[in-house]
Amino acid sequence: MADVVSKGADGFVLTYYKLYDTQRHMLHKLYKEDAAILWNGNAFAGISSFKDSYLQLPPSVHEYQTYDAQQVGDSSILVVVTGAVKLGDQPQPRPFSQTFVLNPTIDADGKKVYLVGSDTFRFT
Amino acid sequence: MSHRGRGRGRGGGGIGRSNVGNGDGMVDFGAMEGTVSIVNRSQLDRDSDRNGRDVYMGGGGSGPNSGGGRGRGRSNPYGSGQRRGTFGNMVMRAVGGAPGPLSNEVSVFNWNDRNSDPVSLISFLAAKTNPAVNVLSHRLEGNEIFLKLRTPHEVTAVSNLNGIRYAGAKLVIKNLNIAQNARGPSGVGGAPYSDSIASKPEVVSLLTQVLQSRYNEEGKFLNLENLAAHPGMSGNASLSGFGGDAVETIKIGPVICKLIKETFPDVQSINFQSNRLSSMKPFETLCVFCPFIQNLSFQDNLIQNYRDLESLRGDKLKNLRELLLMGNPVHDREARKGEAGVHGYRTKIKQLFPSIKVLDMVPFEEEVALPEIGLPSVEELPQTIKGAFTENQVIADLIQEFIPKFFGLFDANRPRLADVYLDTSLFSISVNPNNRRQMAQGGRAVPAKYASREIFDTWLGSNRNHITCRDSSRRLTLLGKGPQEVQALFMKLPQTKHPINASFEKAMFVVDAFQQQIGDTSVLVVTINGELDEVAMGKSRSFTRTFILAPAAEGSKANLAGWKLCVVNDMLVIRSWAAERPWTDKPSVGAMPTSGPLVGLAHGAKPHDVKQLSRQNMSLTGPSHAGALPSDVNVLLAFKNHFGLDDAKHNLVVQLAQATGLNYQMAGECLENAGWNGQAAIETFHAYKAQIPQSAFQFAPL
Repeated sequence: MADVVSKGADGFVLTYYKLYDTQRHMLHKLYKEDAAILWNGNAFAGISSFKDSYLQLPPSVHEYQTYDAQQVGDSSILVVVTGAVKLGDQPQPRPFSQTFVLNPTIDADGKKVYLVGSDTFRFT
Repeated sequence: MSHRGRGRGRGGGGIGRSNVGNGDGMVDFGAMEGTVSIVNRSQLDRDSDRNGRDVYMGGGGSGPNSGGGRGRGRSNPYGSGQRRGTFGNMVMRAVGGAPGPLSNEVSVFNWNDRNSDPVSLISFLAAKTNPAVNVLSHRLEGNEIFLKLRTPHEVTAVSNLNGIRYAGAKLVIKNLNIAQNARGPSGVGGAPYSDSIASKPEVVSLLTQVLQSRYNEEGKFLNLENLAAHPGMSGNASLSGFGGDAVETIKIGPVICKLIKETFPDVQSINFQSNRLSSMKPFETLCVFCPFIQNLSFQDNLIQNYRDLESLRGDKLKNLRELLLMGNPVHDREARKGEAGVHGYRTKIKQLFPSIKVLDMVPFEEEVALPEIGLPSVEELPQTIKGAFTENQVIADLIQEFIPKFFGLFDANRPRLADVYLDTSLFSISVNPNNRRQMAQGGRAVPAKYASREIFDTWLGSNRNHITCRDSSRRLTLLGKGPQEVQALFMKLPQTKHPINASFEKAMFVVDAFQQQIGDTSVLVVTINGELDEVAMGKSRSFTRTFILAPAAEGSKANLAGWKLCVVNDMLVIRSWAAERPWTDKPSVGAMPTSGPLVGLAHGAKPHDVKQLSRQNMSLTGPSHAGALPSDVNVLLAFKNHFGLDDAKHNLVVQLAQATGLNYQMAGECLENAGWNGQAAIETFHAYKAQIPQSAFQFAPL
């Protein structure tokens, strides 16, 4: 299972920031509808209420510098990422940390996929 | 040179050998001395007399020639002046008669012709020394690289490699400890400071009056401009010499720093203008006595070089906002070169004093562009940054109880944390050595250039960062499962001090916490971003620590030890320290900023879960000294101070105590007899374990 968790995290982190930086309008597909989201201390109940906010952010380039993953309970995954993000034409990237809990979910095709159940983001 | 080396080497020795050991049929560690101890009898004898001697302001008065070797032998090679100000007299000792803390640096020329990667050079030097030296940090200045080492011994070992061939050239290695001693105040003929100012109450009281006359209470502003001209100073024989690089300045400076702390604890700004200072050396203890100073002016002094600024540890002045250095050669020389010179100067000063926002009355550009720290512009971001988020008061209370207790033990007595982990709990650590404001060009997941990375040797052993740790079996090895494996990983981490006690420390971290349903259980997801001190290095690190916490079940180990919560997951990221704290001065969020409850609570976690979390009121609270080490890190540091241990030895003692359950005194005894070889000490411990009396496993106060 530990290997599944790590491999899952490998794929998730790669996909998440790629979508964020290049196809942000698709990002919500990685979240559960009722995901709990904290963005710099601001709470959002559900991905639809957060969507408007992140879509307004200037273009981003994320560089993730570390991530680590652990199993939570029977089948969830904890992923913690740290890195730096360049927003718009800001001269300096801003360091950040982001904590995800991924929950297994059955998608429309009956496939088991991991989706973001909670997301805690901070500029650090 | 050899004299100096030896003197310093035993500086940290001399842990009390008298108390345990020879009586009562207990194990006689002393008997092993002939075979394993590196400390010979005469040194011990000499060390043992020092407790009875007045060493305030630096061991003066022990003979005209004693200022050199002996004074040096006594001062902490790691510079106790860098510690927080708990041990005032200890600090005074370090900056007084003995020369100040050595920089423990070497400079290396002629190294980067073919290979300009500092890491290669550092590995090369480590391979050529035995025992291998530990480079704590490095910095580049032109073609010269400066390497900071742990001890003077290591400095000597590396300096002895001068002339060795590396990458097709011969290295030129300079021992900067020697240069420092020759140049520094101690070089003044080794004159003993027999007339210590601190020993003359009337002088101290006069100096206090002088300072009081220069203090503006309302503005919290202390104006020490041209202090020598103050009638109180010029009229007193002990004080009249103040100014410039006179011996008196070196003597009076630390006393002033201490008096500032005692007399004006709220001071925010200090002006040292026009005191003919050629370095910040006399006021280096500001970072100990006034670590929260906000504005400093050294305008119109005689400071020549960047190195003259380094004695004041800018990285320790975490709240310093504004610095003035105009009118010093170090500024004027660059200013004459025009824009490029000024830019280089500002960059360099910002490195030395990372928290400053304004230098020579000009704000750093970034701050102009970002009026609200952390936001590209107020319009661009949909939400502003807020302070700590906790979903409701119940969670807030639980977290507020958990965090200080957990980190207090993590700092002082990690084995006691075994109670709070379940057999299925997981812990792992990643290290992010990238400098916070730098990013590799273009691509993602590309390690930044080595030049912009900090040295994290003490943490890297267990680094499970998935970017670098790709191998699945290694990933598994580095994942601690259950209290024992978690503990084993903990023991490999250096000693830490988290800011959890004083009120000013509250701003140093931010906690986000909410409840989430995982399967059938309701857990708390807690993310803490903040900073900690790596005690042995005297270095600040930033960290991100994520916990998943569950209520401690009735009758469980955690519950019996007085915990309301237990740890399900624990993930630590250690990062290079940055001055920014985007969350500070932001109101913390207790209530919902949004209309409905957070979904993590709404879906699944019903109100009764919250009650369940809060219902765990404990009838049993843990004893205050279940382990043999004190649970308060300040008490722990008092032990270190009491035995005069340097940081490396202190760290060894703590590690051995944690690994064996011995108390501090006994662990120290054991290590000293094993020649401060941790492995040998552990083996000795196991060999004689049965004979060690129970009292050695109990906390013994000083």
